[in-house]
Amino acid sequence: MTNAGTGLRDARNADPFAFLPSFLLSLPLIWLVVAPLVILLVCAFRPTGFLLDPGFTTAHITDTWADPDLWRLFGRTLQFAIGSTALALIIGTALAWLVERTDIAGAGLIRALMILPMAMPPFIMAIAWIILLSPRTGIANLALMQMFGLTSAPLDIYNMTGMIFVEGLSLSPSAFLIMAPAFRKLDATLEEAALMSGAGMVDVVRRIALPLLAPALAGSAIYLLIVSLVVFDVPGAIGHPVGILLVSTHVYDLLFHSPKGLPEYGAVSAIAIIIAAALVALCLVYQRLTRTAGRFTTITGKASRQRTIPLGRARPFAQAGVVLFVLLTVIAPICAIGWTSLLPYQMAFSMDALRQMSFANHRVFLTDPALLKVIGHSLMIALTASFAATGLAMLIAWVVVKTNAPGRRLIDLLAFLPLAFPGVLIATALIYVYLSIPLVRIYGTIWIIAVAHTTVFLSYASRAMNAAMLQLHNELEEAARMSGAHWLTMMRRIVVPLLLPALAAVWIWVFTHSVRELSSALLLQGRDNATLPTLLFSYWNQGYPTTTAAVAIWLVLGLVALMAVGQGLQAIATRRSSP
Amino acid sequence: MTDISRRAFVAGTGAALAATPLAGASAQAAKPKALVDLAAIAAKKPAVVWSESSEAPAIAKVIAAFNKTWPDIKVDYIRDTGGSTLAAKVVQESQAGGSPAGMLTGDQSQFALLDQRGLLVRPDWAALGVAAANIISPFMIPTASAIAVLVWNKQKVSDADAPKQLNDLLNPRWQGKAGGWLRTPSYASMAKLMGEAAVRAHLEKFVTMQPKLYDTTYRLAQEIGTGEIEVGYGLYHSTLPIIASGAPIAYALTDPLAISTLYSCCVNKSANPEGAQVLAAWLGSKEGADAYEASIGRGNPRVEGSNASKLVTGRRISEYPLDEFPTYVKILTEFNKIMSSRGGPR
Repeated sequence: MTNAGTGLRDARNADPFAFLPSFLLSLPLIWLVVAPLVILLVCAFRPTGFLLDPGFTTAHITDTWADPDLWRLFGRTLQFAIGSTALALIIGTALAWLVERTDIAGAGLIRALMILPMAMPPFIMAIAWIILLSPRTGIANLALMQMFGLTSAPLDIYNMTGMIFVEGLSLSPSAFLIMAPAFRKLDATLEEAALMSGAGMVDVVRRIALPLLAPALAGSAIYLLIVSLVVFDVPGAIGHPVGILLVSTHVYDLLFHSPKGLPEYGAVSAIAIIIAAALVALCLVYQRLTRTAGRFTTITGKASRQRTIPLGRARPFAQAGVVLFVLLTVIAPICAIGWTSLLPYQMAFSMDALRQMSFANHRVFLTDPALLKVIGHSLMIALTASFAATGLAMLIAWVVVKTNAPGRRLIDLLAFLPLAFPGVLIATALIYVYLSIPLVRIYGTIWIIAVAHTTVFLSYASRAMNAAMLQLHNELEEAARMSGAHWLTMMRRIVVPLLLPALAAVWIWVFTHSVRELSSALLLQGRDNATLPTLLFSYWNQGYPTTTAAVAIWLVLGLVALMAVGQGLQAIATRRSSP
Repeated sequence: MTDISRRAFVAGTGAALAATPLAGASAQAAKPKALVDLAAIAAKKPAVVWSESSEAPAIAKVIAAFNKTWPDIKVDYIRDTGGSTLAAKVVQESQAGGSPAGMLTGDQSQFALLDQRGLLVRPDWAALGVAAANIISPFMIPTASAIAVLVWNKQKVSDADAPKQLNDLLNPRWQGKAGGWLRTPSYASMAKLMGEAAVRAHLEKFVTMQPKLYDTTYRLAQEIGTGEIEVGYGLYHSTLPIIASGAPIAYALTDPLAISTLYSCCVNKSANPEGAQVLAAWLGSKEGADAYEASIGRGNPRVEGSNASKLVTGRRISEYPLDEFPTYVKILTEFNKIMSSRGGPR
């Protein structure tokens, strides 16, 4: 480990323009994050919850915060979030370790397969598992009952364990994507030095590997925890029908099923403040964990190498674990959705159902006159959001990790903050922002959705880029500067090439999540900005689950193809950035 | 509509419709002058934006039918399935100086709030040729009704065991096998004739039976079709597509019969409020109601000859009238809370 950062930072302390990076970055962050969030906070103090209505009240805050039911909901939500995060972290970290540090066969293929579940929107994943594990009609349940002569279904998806299982599976690729680069960059000489000094394997893991992986682990855990706190898809599809309400489903009811006729923005904003406060606390913990950034740098000007750990007799078990993961996250859900897409109506597995199979639902979707336009919208939104979020996250990470610029921690916090707000809330705020700025006429277009997605996904992008930036030693930049390189040249020729694999990973993540994102696109939908998920949702909402399944299959296949291209590009980037 | 006989109601409505120039007429020349004048102004303005929850292809058929009568008025459609967000977007867009949708179709709870904010046009409906029976509010006009029905899976439930009345769902045999809509407007409407206490008691018992509740009645019907649940209390129009797809489900109407009327209203800060009024008046006519029912599945029982009116013939219709709106909202809020109390940590 090297003591990165201090030299460069000391030099920059004397710089009278040290505040400039924070200032420049604060401008897009004020536009993307601060303005919508301030609007949401103001709504918490409006009697009606509407921004531009007159009056001031603290009733939403006092009533909401004093409601014991809400705190019970938070308790249950925390149980769900911790369970999902733990499951995703265990799966993602274990698989990242297997792929990056061991001699498991087909590591490249596994790496590609690992991100495939990202092609499956959580909403679709939840539907797929309902089709598989419903207590009376679930395909897997019926098969198990048939095989073992059971009189009742052995499994039931409609409980907290089922929700955690599906959400954990759904989040595991995100954990993998954060952990894999961290494992990849671990310098084997550190572990070997420890082993040669007589340390045991446990000591090496505890005193070498874990501290080196701490930023990525902390970032991953905090990110997954917050996502699980506000996620709607899985709790909405699985928990909601059987009365397992979480904070997100409660917020959904306040926004969309309010008996008062209008969404209860005031109460929702009051709840969002609690989530935001929790997030700020988590972010501060994260910053504290990563304060001494130099402890974690592993990419230096010197050559480093990786040590491959032989799995030995554990290898078949490890490979079986990978197969099981792919089966649970990709094959089983796709088969369930594919099966449903061929039926005239949703039905349990039977010979009668087999006789009624056809491609009619696929024809309905593929002959929809709006299809090409909708695909174009989704791709354009995803391209814009992925480039914007990735670029901005890289700059934020550089300022936060590599400089002593005043206000950098605030910048870091601002980039993280949108995670605490459900997409529908950010979309609501954007309606006000873009209707109030007559010069930027993007309301009702695809561009307002692109802005919403950039804001929503900036949190993940900045976490991932921070983790990657922490592993770049400053000596590379210092060498460039001493050679007279301008900042732009240094970024272009040193930082960006070295970060290319991480940049590609973040870009793929934002792109795929943008293509599948529903909630903000739904609220910002105008006359001519429908996206694939809104089309999918409209089929589902209107009572066409089998057509929904057909759309989902094509959406997933399209995303798989896009991710394959992305993986190829990432592989090229990795080769180029390797010393 | 309360406990007035449905037959008398429809007969009165039909007579009123017949007495108006709109009844059965399609030629613009036969329209009231006020309507024709409005249409002339509307034709020179941007498209009327219509917003509601139905799917776009179905609404496109309704718009095509409207344009046969009013070819010069352009209509665009924005689908909003968010429930409460339909009215919220109008408030936000109006406050921020934008141009909100011109005509909304939805429930009274949202539109009453928009009217209180002065955001709705209060047309002279009679001068626009709207039938007297349809003029029940100064700022909105009945467009369709959601009719509550009992639904069951024919393969799981015999005809003899099929529920006939609401309280049949409380039979212990449906423990864990019944379902419902997460929202309770049908129950709130039912309270008008069945009695608030009786419906409350029903709901309190129902939620102890571990029912599965869905955020749309389409999903409820689907799940009954799969056999995951066997019976439920849903809506007629959302059951039809599932039956049409071949699912083994059947439905029955209760007596009294709960209905929830959907209204259309016109937004005064929209780009073409005149066109919105012409469209709303047309939807309230026999021609418009038929086109809407044929495409969407929801009909207007107030219009003689509609499928909806045939469906409810001879039954006591239960719904709070508009002047009891505060009572309705109070009951709805309470019933929603009871419904959401089902389940719990598992």
